Amino acid sequence: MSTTKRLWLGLAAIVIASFGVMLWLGSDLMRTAPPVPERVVTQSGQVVFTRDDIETGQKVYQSMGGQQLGSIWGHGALVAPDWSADWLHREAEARLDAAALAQGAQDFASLEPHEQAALQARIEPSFRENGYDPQTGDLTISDDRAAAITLVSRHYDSLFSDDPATHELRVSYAMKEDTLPDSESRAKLNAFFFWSAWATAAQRPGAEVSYTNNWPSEPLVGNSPTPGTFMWSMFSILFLIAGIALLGWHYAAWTGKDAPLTPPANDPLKGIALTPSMKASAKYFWVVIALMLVQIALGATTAHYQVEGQDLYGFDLSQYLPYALTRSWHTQLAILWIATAWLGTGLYIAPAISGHEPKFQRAGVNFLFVCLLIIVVGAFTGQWFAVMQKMGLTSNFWFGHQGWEYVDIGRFWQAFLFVGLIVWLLLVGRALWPAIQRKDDMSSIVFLLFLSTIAIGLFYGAGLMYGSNSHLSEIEYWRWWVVHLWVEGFFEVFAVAVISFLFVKLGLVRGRTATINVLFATVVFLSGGILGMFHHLYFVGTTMAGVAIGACFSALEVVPLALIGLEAMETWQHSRATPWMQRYKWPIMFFLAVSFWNLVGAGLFGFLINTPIALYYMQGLNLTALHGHTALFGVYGMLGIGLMLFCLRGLRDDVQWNHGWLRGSFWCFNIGLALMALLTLLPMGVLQLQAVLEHGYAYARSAEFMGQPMIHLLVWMRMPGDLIFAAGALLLAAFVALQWINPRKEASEPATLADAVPAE
Amino acid sequence: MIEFYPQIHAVHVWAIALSGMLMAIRGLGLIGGMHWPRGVVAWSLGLAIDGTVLTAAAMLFAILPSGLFANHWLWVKLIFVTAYFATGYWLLLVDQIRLRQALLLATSMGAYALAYGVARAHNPAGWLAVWGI
Repeated sequence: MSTTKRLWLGLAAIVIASFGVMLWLGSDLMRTAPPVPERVVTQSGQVVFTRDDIETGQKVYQSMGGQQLGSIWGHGALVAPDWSADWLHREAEARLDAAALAQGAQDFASLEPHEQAALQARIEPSFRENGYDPQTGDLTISDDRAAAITLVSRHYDSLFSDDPATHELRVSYAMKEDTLPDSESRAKLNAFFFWSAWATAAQRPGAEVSYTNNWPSEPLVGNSPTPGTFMWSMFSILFLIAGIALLGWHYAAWTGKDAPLTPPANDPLKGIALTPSMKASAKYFWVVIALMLVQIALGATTAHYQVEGQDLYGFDLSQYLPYALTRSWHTQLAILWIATAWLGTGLYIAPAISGHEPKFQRAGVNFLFVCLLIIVVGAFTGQWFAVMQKMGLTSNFWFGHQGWEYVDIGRFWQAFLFVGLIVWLLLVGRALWPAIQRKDDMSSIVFLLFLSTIAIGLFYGAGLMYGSNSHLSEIEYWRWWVVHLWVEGFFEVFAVAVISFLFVKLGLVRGRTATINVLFATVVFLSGGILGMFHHLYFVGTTMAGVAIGACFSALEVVPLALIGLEAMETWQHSRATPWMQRYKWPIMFFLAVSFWNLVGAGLFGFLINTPIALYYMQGLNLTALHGHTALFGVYGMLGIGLMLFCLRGLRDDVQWNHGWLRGSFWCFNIGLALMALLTLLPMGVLQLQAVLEHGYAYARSAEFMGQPMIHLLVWMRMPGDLIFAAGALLLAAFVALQWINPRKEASEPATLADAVPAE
Repeated sequence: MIEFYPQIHAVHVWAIALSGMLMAIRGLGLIGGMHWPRGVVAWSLGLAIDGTVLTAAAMLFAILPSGLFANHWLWVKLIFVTAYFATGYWLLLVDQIRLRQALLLATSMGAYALAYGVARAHNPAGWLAVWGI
């Protein structure tokens, strides 16, 4: 059996086995997730909340921006608190104060340490006992707890209104005045917050851990890491070491066997004949630049809210563009511009690979482009109406804000985008088809490229698997199918396949070698990438089985990154293989940056928060934002730019490039991102981590902690990096604009990509 | 943040002083036909200093009361500062004849001096107010 065939079989086995386990763990999660009670009743029979209150409260939470304003179970935005942790802490404090008052003390804080410890020990069991009766569906709580709930509800009712008493807190949390103008909505929101907090401390039936595996760290109710959290963290590290050892062995055994390849004398891609649909893909790249610039401006605005709360240099911006909205658009645009760069690349490269322009391909490319514009404008308008509370809850789900980070556009727009992605994969597929059928050295790599486009398109559909009334754990499960499987799975495969394919077409790598390398890399990526999804679900209602699988397999995601220096060196050598490679210097430099940030942003900063014990303390701190920014922009943003430049090289083949603009842009992006990470996100995250370890999670996310001058100073320290980063984007925008506005011509040699055969 | 006002103000003042000095030295170097003003070290230093100037300025802008705009001195200063940076970076970025380089440097330094006068006087009249004219 040939090596290629063996690798294909291995890949198929891994994909089938991994998805089998994924579905099994998913069904387990849905069976064992924290129940939503029919009623929350006190021992004296008073009904505090109903199931409808909790479910409607979840919809209210979604309508105000959901995870874009504070977080639940650690997932979401970082300026406002984690509402489940905050509620738990406030409720515990209210109960301790009440108990202290009953003892004749002024409040809990005024007690001696031994008296405090005794009170804590007294109230802790009432938080940890479950109280849920599956027969009746009732969750029974003590009258004392109901009294504490009333106090906390009053606080939140004030916070989400325009009550002057909580104005300062709203400023600290970057919330607009009157976030929820309707008092009934605020009451329902309280029901949802209570339920999410109850699940963090209430122990699973027959177990001594809570539904969220004791997350968050909260000393007042005895929430601390479980033994399983420690144990699977150890195994996670063992898996990592074993994975690196295996990969090292593979490199030693397999690489360097081929004789060096002599590159062709001239650029095989120079003078490539552009088909009408390839030309039509240019507009995608203009949109990439526009979306990127808007995204950076929104990022700066979102970061600024962290110091001025509601204002932008004294102007009350929150009344028009509140934090929840700027952050929603910032995160959505990150995905959208990167995705548009990839969509454009797919549409440009598919006819180039096969040398075949299907009928009406250009019309399809233009149709998809118009659809994408409608989706962006429509979805963002809907989110504005939602966050400004100008939409009912039903309309909100369909056209407004779903509230789930990265997949938060309204369901109609989400479905529309899914259809758009299907149209994209059809357009790419029909153009690629002749190349897939050719059965040559390249057919496997082309087929893998095609499979990754199918996966990117179809797996967005996982975001349609939950409804407006779905359980939070179920939503998180399917949401991460989209987000995680895209970035850790199919994006990686697409990236490796497309870059390898380009090097083969440039005559720098043999087709067979590239095919084996890409297939092997795909096997390695997907071994950890699929089941590694569970590391996002450690604390959202999953059992210890999910924690174990997530911890071990997500460690494997880091394995290929440990040896990424070898890949980077190979890429660098390709860039210097022949003088005409200077034409591709900057796309390749951006590919090199992908390797660098893959190691730093995805590898180091990713593994920093990856093990269960690390994430137990770090989830929702700035250390997660550190990983998010450096991995998302550093890897996929840089890749999107590299691919865009590669396509522009072909689209504006006869235009002389101004290397100065690109050099400036490249270094500004990298230095800006590094400064953002090192001057702000890393130190702030470390300070927060220290606060969690010393005082519990709620404190590290509180206004008291986040409002400290030192934290504000660190936020301001983003500015130099952000300015440099923005300069990089402007230089890139100017470079792209000049390709069409003021092009300088250079000599060309006609050729076609389909005929470009590497010199063996 | 107001707790850090003296430090931020000091950083702003020192950084703008360094920015002006570096711009003048690089401009003179360029007019003198040297290459180092456009070298990596000079660019890195210049961008770092100017980034610090802008960061500190934005911080002061956010933390000080809006009375800062009371007599519009800040607007006038911003116009001169913009002129200083625009002409200075034009000089550093674009190749041109020596006479035009000298004119750009003179304009940049003139705008810098006027901005400094306005900032010192906290008055749109700038040096005229300082000297009591």
